[in-house]
Amino acid sequence: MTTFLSSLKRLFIAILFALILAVVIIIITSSEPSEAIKVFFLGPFSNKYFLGNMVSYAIPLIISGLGASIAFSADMWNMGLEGQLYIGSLCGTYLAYQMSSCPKTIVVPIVLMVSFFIGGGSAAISSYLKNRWKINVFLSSLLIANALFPFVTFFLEGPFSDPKAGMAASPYFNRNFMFSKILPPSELHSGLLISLGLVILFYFIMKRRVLGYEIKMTGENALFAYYGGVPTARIEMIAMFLSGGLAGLAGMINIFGSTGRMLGYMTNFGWNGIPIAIIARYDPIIVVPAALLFSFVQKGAEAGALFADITPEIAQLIQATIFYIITAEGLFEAIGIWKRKSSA
Amino acid sequence: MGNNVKSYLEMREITKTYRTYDHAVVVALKGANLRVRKGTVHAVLGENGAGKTTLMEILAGVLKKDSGTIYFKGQKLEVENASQAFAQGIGMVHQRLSLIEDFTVAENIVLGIEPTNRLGIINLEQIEKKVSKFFQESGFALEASGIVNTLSIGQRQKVEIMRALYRGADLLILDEPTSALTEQEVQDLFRLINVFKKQGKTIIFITHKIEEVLDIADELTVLRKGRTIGEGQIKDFSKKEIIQMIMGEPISLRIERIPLRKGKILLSVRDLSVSSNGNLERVKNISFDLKEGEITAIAGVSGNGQKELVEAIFGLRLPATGKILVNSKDITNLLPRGRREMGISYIPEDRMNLGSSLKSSLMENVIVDKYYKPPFSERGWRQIDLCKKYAEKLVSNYNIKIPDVDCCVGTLSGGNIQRVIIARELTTDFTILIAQEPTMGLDLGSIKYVYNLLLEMRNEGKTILLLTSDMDEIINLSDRILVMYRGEIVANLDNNLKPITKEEIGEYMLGIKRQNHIELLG
Amino acid sequence: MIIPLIDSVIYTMLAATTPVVLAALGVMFTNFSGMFNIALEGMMLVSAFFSVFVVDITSNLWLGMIAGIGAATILGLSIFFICHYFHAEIFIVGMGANLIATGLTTFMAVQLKGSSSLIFENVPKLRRIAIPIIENIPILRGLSGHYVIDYLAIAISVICYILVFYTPYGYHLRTIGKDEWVAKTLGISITKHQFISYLWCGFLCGLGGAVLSLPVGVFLGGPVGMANGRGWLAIAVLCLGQENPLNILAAALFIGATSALSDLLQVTTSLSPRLLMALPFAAALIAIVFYMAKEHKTSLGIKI
Repeated sequence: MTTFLSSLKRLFIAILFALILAVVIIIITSSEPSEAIKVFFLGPFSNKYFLGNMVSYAIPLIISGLGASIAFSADMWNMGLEGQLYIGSLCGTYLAYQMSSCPKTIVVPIVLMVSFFIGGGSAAISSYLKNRWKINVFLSSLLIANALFPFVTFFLEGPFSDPKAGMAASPYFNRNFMFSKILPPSELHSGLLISLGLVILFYFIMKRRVLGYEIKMTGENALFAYYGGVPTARIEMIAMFLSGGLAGLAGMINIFGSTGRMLGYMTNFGWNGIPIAIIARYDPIIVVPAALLFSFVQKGAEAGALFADITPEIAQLIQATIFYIITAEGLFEAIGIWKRKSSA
Repeated sequence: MGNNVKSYLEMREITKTYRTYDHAVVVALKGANLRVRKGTVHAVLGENGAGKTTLMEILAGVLKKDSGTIYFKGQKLEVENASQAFAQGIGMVHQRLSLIEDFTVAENIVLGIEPTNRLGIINLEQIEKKVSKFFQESGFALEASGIVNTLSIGQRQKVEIMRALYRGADLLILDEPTSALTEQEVQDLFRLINVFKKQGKTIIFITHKIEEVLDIADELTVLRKGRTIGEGQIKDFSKKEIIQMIMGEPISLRIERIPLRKGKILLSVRDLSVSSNGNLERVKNISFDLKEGEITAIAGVSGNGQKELVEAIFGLRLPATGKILVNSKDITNLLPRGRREMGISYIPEDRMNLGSSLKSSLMENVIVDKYYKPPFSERGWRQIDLCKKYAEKLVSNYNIKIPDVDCCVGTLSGGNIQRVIIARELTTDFTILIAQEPTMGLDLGSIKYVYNLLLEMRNEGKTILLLTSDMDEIINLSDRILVMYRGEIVANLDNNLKPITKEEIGEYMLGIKRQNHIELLG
Repeated sequence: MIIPLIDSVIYTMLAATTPVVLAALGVMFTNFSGMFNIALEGMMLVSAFFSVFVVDITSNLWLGMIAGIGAATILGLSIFFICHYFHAEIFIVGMGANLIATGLTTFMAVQLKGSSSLIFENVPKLRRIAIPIIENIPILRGLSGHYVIDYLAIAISVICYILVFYTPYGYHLRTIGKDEWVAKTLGISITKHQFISYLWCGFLCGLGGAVLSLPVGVFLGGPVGMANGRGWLAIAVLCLGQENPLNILAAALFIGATSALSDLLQVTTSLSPRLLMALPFAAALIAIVFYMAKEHKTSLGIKI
């Protein structure tokens, strides 16, 4: 419980820093700072449309944040979430496109399963390479992901492209397959329920199930876990598979919910899962507010660009700064806000 | 005679606190004093954890003191790091030898003070010549161009001593120099120390073995729990008085061991060969059996394959060839979990990385071998309350000092961590126990407790494989002693038939003697 | 027909090697010091941005290069200080630095110039240097006509080799890399060497970033960015070259060769240029698998 509270505290401090930084940058760059600040902070909450879009944007972030959390909990530095998200979404979208005449109740579960398994499979390669030849997971997952980007883009520009799109994008699949909207006219869709369901599921897996204990022990000291009787190679494989699978799901749920087809530009949903997981200290519940924070910064900047003269790229800078600040654990100790649990 | 008025070295009221993992504060020194006269061999005595090493590392500039003053050669000494201490003439040979294994002897000797040409480039040949010449002058026979990892522990230690002298040490600190040496190597080292003494050098000798002190030292200082509690000339103290000073209260480690009738074979190792990480064959074609109600010790200078052998038996390392059988069932290819289920329990030497997970709570640590079995989990759901109760029971049974079972193990002292490991490994249904340095870092009271526990287990009909560097432990506890040398078993000695002496084991450990095939069968 | 082709392959190979080998040497220093820096991508990116940006303002290439090196060094030192004073995990801070670099450069590019991808048409560009005799010899011709930083990169690799194996500094660095405890008992300051290694890393990644943007006068921001995975390839190169700068150069040349091959295949075959972009990454992974299958080492000095 104590760690849960201290994680929440850290998150609050990170938000505080982010807000201060946002204000400073806006004051420097904007010609009407007061108006810009108002739009940035209140824009996402100003009406149902913006609020819904903000939550909708957080859905894939929550799922990829969960994916990163579960791999990192096992000390498997899965840096390939973006690549796993891409390949999972591509295969899922292709399947949905091919199954356009089938009923929705069959297509959606099958497509989600396929995205999950393809994403998970491509992540599990890294754990195999580690187990077999001691190859660093961090390095192999990065290299695989970097090799996957051009591969996926190739399909979206060539064999599986929409010629009318004028950019790298797949054709639309049957519109009936899309998730229902929760808060029209905004984009918020019922994928939210799936993502929250996954959060609860993974909360129970991590805190109450034997698998969660095995993942945690593998992450905290793999050699000890192996010696104690945890089948660490299998656990690492499972953690990587779930992680990549969640990344694939994140992409596919976003496609079912918002876009209706696969787009070739970088959404960064996979990459952003990494800082979200670390900010949440791999706690499945805290992933939700952390993802909402990232989404809020993103949508605030977009609103600021729309109604004031904020540069939308400010979002990335603020998100990165939050993360950079939160990495300096000792900083929190130094200012006495957050103390490690110590005794003796 | 001015030296006698003022001490050659004086350390006054030295204090030092550590921060362990997770920032818990451990007090190592609470005002320790030390006075050393020039040209003497000065023993610093104390139990494990008394602060001997900390005090000496402060003197050698490796650690920084919190408070206190040091006077050396009549002047106040302030050193920031080890090279400043070397420059003042203070050299330390650490218990954990500080040599780079794949550098040559010469490279290691000059490390930190490498001579260069005008362009700042090192000339290796010149260095080797210089070091060889230095070796010759000091009457020390060793190839300067040899790679360190081809040397024995005794030779490596000499390289370190030579390094301290090469850097001009007048005061030589030796931290537990005999712990990894055989009896013969120890005598060799003592001869060397006497030579240095004749040359007018001063030696500080850290140990917890009283016999050695009586052999070699002139004066002594005793530390207990971070404080100096006694000092003076060796000749003024009896052995009993010294022991009493070290321990505070007299505890005898003598134990009663009645030979048992031999039972059936529990574990057999057949033609086992194991390679190390660097693909060197560390265990060569070893076979032996462990029987019910028997403590079998494996003796050997460290690095002769004991570590690899144990790791292979427990499944941390795959053997190249051979078989391991428990109750005649082949377990060679099982994971550690499977081996634990076959009744093997293992107290490892490396308690910080292998034996415990410092980041995890005590509860998580003690259930690691049984978390998946009922009642600790039911149908995949963890029974956390029950696990906590179980952990609390172990905490009180084994007298582990921890506020609550959710605290992480990294906040505990070394001795307490060892208790956690022992508690976990002994609270299972095991029949075979592998105990590696089981009493390392424990105080004497706890050592006695562990000895009695091990004997109790043996008397219940379990078999124990004991690996320890403490020769007294081997001689007192074990029924049978196997000696390993260069990956082979060179002796199979029955300790119940007639008591084995340390010298006898030492000859086998050094490879001077080895038994023939018939003797080896026991 | 075939000889000009070989010329161009050699030329592209050398050109593609430069940024990778520079970054790999940079990370080698940090690896020795026990503070493995993974923010190469970010350091190259800030250098690429600031160098071309300063050239745009001052029209001076040298100032641009210094600005790039300075920016990369500042980012590197921020990693060092956060880790050293706030006990942060180096690996996570490195990731943060990568994100900061992308966020900062993209934001500044958009804020100051209106787009995340900038083309500076009127800035002075790094000029190619022809080597007199070699430029006329077939096949060897590919060695001529590179930028000053390309030649510098080869020279730096050799200098690093001498530095690591034949100077006291190199001995101390390797001692720390093999066993920090030994360094401590001999009075070799670990913190000092970590600091210096981050200066090295900043300098080398700065040069590596400058060579991306200065010859063409272009900066690409956004999620992919100008570094385009070269920082990650550099880590792969370190994994192949281990602790020997010349082996690192050889491994980087191998990666450079795969880039050249991918260019060549684009010209000579009908394979999609997109697909061929995956080639260096796939080749790096396969090379690591072969290397690791042969050697019994861990893939990096860090525990990740």
